[in-house]
Amino acid sequence: MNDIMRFIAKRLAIGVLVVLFVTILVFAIMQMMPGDTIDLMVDTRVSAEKVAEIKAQWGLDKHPVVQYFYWLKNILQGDFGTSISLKQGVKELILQRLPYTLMLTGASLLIEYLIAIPLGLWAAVKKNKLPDKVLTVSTIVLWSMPPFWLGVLFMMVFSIWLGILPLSGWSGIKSLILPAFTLALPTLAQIFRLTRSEVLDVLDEKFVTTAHAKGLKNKVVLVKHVLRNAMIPVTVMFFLSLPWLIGGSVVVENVFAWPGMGQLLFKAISKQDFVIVQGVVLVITVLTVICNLIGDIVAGVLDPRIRLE
Amino acid sequence: MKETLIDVKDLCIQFQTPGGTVKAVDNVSFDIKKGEVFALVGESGCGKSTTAMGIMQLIKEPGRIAGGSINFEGKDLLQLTRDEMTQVRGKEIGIIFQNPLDSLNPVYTIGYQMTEGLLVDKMDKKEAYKLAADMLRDVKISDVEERMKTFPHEISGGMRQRVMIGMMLCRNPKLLIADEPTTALDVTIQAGIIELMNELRKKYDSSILIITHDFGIVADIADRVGVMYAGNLIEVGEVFDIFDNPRHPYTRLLMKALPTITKEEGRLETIRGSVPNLAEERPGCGFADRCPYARDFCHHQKPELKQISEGHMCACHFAEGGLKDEQ
Ligand SMILES: Nc1ncnc2c1ncn2[C@@H]1O[C@H](COP(=O)(O)OP(=O)(O)O)[C@@H](O)[C@H]1O
Ligand SMILES: [Mg+2]
Repeated sequence: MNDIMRFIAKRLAIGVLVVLFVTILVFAIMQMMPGDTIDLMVDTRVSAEKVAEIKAQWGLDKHPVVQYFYWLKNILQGDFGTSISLKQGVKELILQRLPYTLMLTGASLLIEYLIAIPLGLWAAVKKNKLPDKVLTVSTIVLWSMPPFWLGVLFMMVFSIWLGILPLSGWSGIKSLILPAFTLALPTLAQIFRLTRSEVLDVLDEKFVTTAHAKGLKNKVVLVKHVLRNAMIPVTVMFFLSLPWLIGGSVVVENVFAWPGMGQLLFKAISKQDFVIVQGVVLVITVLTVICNLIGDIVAGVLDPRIRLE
Repeated sequence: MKETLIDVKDLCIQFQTPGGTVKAVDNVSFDIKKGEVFALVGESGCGKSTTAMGIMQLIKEPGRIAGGSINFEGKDLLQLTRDEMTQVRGKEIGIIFQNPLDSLNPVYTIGYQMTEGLLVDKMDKKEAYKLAADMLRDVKISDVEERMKTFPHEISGGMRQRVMIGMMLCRNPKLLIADEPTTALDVTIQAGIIELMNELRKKYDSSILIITHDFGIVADIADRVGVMYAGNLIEVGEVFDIFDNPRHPYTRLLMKALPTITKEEGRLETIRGSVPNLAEERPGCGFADRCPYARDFCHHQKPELKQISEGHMCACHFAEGGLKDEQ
């Protein structure tokens, strides 16, 4: 038990460094972009003195390093700052939108894994037979489809032609279906392929033959012995892919005008509103670190050969 | 005369390989009576393990059973459905694999895997646990309570091998197939395991098919012996017949080579030449190329496995006439 606590503490310490590094990096990139929020907001007729005054008001006249530390100091006190372009607290903005993003990523994860794992198992068992070939080809097609393209296709078919699902925005749970599938399908293909190859590897293991020799039913062997082992890397992948999914949702959220963090981030970048960008990136990075840590712990639980250290 | 438990007839097992069809088991027939120990001997690669896996129907791709029948207690195992065969495995016929090192699932405890098979028989959990623990003690595993909770990677290779043996023994199968069960085990433990098999036979009238290079073990527990060569069964007989009156030239050389064979794990250095390529068509006797007695027709005419005396069968053109003892 003590070992696990030490492991978690060590990983969290590294995680803090990662978060710091990422926020510095993002801040630096934002600084490198020409102009700033105020330049983008004000009309050309506003005098230079007035602009300088507004900038001073928001602390934008200070040296970037000073600005960063100012932001960091506030964050440590739980203050995410105020958006310059929207004139709203960033924490409130994020809290409004986080549930929508989590809902979207959660739904798409559910779709991915619930579909990809059984299909992967099935394809592996039917290796080189028709179901396997059909699935392998169709997942390659899915994988190579850009999400925004898939999203537009779905909108056309289900909202415009068939008219059975809402086009965009949030108007109840039905609105979730199209963006969730758009986000899920390309990654589903990846998880399907991972599951299939892992199951094939495990099927070759001698302990599977042992399980058959014991007289266990084929289904029991497949689920308890084969799938149980194949699930170790798939589960790790689950936790590792979670942050990517949140990142991937930026595109999908924009296509579907989904009121989540991705859309907020996208707009903030185009307006160079670094306070929002920093806040959202911080949340995503922290989620990433936590997910990776959980992934490692779960791998250790699932596979007794892995020692957490 | 005791009742026959299993009757293997004309069993053919082939592997489809890029180099051709490997006839690993070619028209092999033998039977085992209730309570009898039948030993299968022969050089490495002559098809012993494949025969064993064939009986269990655990042959993996690219192999397949190409023909024959396996009569077990009145039913042909090869005609059973998958579910019916599932009920035979483990309970009626148990198997200890050759090199069972990776035969345990790394994610389950020894206890879980020991009891898993017992629970298939609808045994009560506590009872299964107790039985499994007793079995582990029988295969000379210490601190059994502790061991039951550990995972396979936490115990030594020899111990894993013994767990496997215990796992297959604890359900008292009617037929136990043991494929070189004691290789790599220490001599005292080896003796203990042979003793356990003997007990299984005495207590439950179980039959045993043992595959081994160790003629010491054969002499110890076997009632009858089958000698395999290049996918064929070439001589079958009572253990005394095989030891004292071997009729096939290969068996004779095998007996002569005894001390080397045990040491070298089955490589027969003393017989010139090597095992023929099993992927090639062999119209004549498989051993002809290496046989000191071979005549021209041996290369063209395949000798049948024929009875030469009560309970003694041999597949050699000269088996009945006797071989002149030269060389
Ligand atoms: N998976 C396989 N693919 C091709 N040939 C195989 C395979 N498994 C076994 N064989 C062939 O079958 C023959 C018999 O092997 P085996 O039954 O393991 O022999 P033994 O147990 O007597 O040492 C060997 O010559 C080997 O080449
Ligand atoms: Mg073998």
